[in-house]
Amino acid sequence: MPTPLSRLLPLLLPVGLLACNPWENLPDQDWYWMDGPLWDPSSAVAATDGVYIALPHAGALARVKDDGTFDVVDLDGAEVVRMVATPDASQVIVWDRWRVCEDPEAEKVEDCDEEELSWSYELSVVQDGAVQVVTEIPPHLNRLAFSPDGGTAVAYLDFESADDVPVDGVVDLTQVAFVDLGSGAVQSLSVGFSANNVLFSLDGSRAVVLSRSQVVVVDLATFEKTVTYPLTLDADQQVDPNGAALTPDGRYALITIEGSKDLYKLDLDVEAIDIISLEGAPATLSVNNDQDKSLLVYGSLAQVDVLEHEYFGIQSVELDEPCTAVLETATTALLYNDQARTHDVYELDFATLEPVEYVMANPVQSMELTASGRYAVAVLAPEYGSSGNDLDDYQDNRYGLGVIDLQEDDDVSLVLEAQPVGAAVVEDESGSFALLLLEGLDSLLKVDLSNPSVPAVVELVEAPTGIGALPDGRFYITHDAALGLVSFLDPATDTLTSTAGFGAVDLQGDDELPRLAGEE
Amino acid sequence: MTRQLLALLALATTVACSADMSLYKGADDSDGSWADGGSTDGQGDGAAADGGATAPEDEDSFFSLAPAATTAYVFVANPDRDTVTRVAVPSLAVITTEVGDHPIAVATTSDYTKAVTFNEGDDSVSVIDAETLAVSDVAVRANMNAMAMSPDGRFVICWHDQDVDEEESSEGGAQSFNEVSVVDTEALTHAPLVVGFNPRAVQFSADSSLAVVVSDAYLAVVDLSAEELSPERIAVSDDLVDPPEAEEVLLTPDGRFAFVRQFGATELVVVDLAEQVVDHVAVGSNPTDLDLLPDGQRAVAVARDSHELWIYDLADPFADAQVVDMPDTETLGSVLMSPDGSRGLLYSTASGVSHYASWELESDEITVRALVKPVQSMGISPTGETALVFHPKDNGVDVDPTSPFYDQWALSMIDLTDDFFSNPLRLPAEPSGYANSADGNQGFFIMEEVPYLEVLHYESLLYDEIELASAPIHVGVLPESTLAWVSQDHPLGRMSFFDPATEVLQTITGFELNSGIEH
Repeated sequence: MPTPLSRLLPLLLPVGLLACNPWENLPDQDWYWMDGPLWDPSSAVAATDGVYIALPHAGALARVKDDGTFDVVDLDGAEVVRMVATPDASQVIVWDRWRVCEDPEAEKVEDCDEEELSWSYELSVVQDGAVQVVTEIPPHLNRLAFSPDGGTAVAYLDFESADDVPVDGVVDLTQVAFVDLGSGAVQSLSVGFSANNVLFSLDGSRAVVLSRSQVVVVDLATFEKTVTYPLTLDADQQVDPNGAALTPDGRYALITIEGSKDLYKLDLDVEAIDIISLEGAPATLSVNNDQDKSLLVYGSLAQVDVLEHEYFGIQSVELDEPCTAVLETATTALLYNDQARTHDVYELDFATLEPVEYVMANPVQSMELTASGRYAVAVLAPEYGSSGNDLDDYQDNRYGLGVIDLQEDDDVSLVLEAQPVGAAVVEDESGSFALLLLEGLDSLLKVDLSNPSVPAVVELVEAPTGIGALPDGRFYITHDAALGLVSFLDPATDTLTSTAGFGAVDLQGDDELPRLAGEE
Repeated sequence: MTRQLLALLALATTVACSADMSLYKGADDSDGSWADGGSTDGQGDGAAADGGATAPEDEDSFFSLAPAATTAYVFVANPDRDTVTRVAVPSLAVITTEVGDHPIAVATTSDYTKAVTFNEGDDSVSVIDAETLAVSDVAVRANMNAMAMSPDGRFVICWHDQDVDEEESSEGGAQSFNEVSVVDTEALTHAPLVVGFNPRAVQFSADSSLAVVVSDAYLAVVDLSAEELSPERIAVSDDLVDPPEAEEVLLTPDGRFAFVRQFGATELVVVDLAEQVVDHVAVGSNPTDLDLLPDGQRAVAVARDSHELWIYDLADPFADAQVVDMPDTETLGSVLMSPDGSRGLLYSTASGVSHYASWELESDEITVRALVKPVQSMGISPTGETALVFHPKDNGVDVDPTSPFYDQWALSMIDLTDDFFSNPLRLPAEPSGYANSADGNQGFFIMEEVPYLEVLHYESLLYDEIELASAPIHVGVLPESTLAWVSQDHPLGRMSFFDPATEVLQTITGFELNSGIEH
């Protein structure tokens, strides 16, 4: 869910404890101070069987359902570190941890000397509100990439997204772990320093793991390295991949390099390397499977390169402004810049390669396409610094919503009352809509993309903090509610159901060591 | 001059790469400046005669070496990685295989089944199966730096060429400058031979039964069909103290006679290789070029100072030669024959005069014609219908300062079928390589530090420029094909392939990385 950490509830939460259920059993019928939030809306992960949310205070995991109920997943005393849903949303993979004390006599944390206290980590596969499989991977591996069939995951370290790197004795920064999600079997491999991207062949037979200055191909049947491709022959040179994709036939891995004009083309079938020279360092590489072509856009070049996959020839299309991001349909691509203060958005038809230019009122912060590809919805960021009093300045200084009708080649930029805290698009028989949550507003704006100027308002029970999609096409909305509140929205009917109170699990808490030494 | 070119210098019957390398005949320094115009010394003409001249290249570059091609593959030696890269065409699939230490030369056999590298670092030859890339190494004598392959590809001969700039050589111990190593690439055997001081080049008979090693004072004849190889050394000069150096040797196709052209002579040395008899035939004054005519039956020598062409019957070299007078007013020191042998083009790279002459063999008529600049080198298309003249930047003696070609490199395409009509082109830099398509319809050339492949259309006399990703180093055409390849400057290797039929340029870059792929 996109809600930033800054949107979390205040860390110090005074809860007035009343002399009625469920609080009557609290100690002393008095005030009890908690030094953190009861639940973490940003942790919410949608699965087919509910929305899973971490409860930091209780050190627990809740499954919130749309029927107003919730339950707590038994993690055997462990607390959630992070979660991710499997691609089919049938399962949730949970990194969790628990306190352990070397002193076998210690039963509580407070009984344990600080130097004997440590964390243990595990990876739990959760489904239907229960742990199905538990396995162990090195705790610093904080990201998962899933094979096409979802049966295998590769755990690797994404250092940029890591809050910290847990060190349990020794950390091998060249390591990744292959996890059989069915059995929990783990096979660790040393694949190269800072492995940070994993690609899977379409047939799921092999994984391509990218790391600094080399790429390793792993046979997923045996979890053994079959080929190692060097990206440089100079040991003093660091070549860091920053983008990669497989061609639709799975034969070639295309790899962009941080700060480099080189596009590496690795032939996975005949095991050969080719370097395609680009005119700049690409910001984004995007493979279009329907067109069997790749697009490359550049933060410093006002052009998009179309790379065909037969001879790997490049056709450059000039733009007025550089673009850094790409959205694609089967026949067109939408190019925009989410890293600069430019306003242009381009629609590129693969057949004609003639770009259609749209100009947003403000820079694009994020953009999404409807499923049909007819509409694009952009959250527009304010351009602070405009100090005039005219209408342009008014718009410049505010967040906005850009709506592009790609069929009619029409666009509109709307001014928003407040900063969006969540946005989503939905398309059904009744039309195409953008769902928008604004900071401080207790309502959801439902923008009909065919007539975006007059949004419908769906009243919410509390101010929202974020929105996310459910696997069935509905949405969940998290709210600014201390004890936990999630709404489920059916966009077809605009009906809302809510589930509340799941944050109030194990309010008393205790500091018992969940798994005593020797029990692991 | 790169070392691999030396194997091609001065030998008219050199087979490998002859189509691509027959262009440059003459100018003896890099900017095309002139020797003493109309001189009698012959220097600057014969010294590089018939050699495949290209500009000096960085020895450290991966592409200081000219690749070698078969109909299906291009082989590139990578000296610093001790590997050879095979590029398949048209798939451009790249496979790299390890060979000996520091391969500095690569050649392919005429049947395209093998590639052979000479590995200077460990004094070995690697024989590579073109299909399987299976490698067999054969040790050779130390201190070699050049290699030549027999026409049938069975033998390679390695020798030490003193003109080669040394990059890496064997260290320590005694060194000989009289030896060659003969390697049988089928039997994978090695025969060291002592041939004479300072071997300069190796010639093979057309049937590959005979090899002749040219040294300062000797021709060493090696019967390659013998069970045990041994040299028959034949002194080519009576002067045992200060023998004149052989500038050019021409071996008759049947391998019976060798013609030796010497600096400043008035006679050619004719060696009966079978009888090991040395004799002489008259050649006029200062022969500066000696070529085999395309019929293989005759040889022609250009006597520059006496303004004569001397034509010899190779079946009876001692019979009176036919002498054709050239215009007294012209200095013509080189001859280039059309493929059908009906016409010769006569020119001088030393005179600084913007003239050339056509010689019709049927009538022996010689017609002098004008050019926009003097000649640096000259070539002729495989069909014989178009001549190419590369002009130096230097202006010689007769270029008007107002000419658009003044102080410019230039190229002229001459239609030999249409009254010698020409289309001169001004060039931004010195041409550094040239090749023809097998069908003779296109020519390809590259220029130093200019990232273009220039495509010449011989029928129309027009040209196209194909932009390359980096500066070109070598250019060639796959045998029996119109597909041109261009190796280019890149730290990890770069090669482009251009198909004139589809006008598609395909480039592969970084194939040196393939040597680092691990399993």
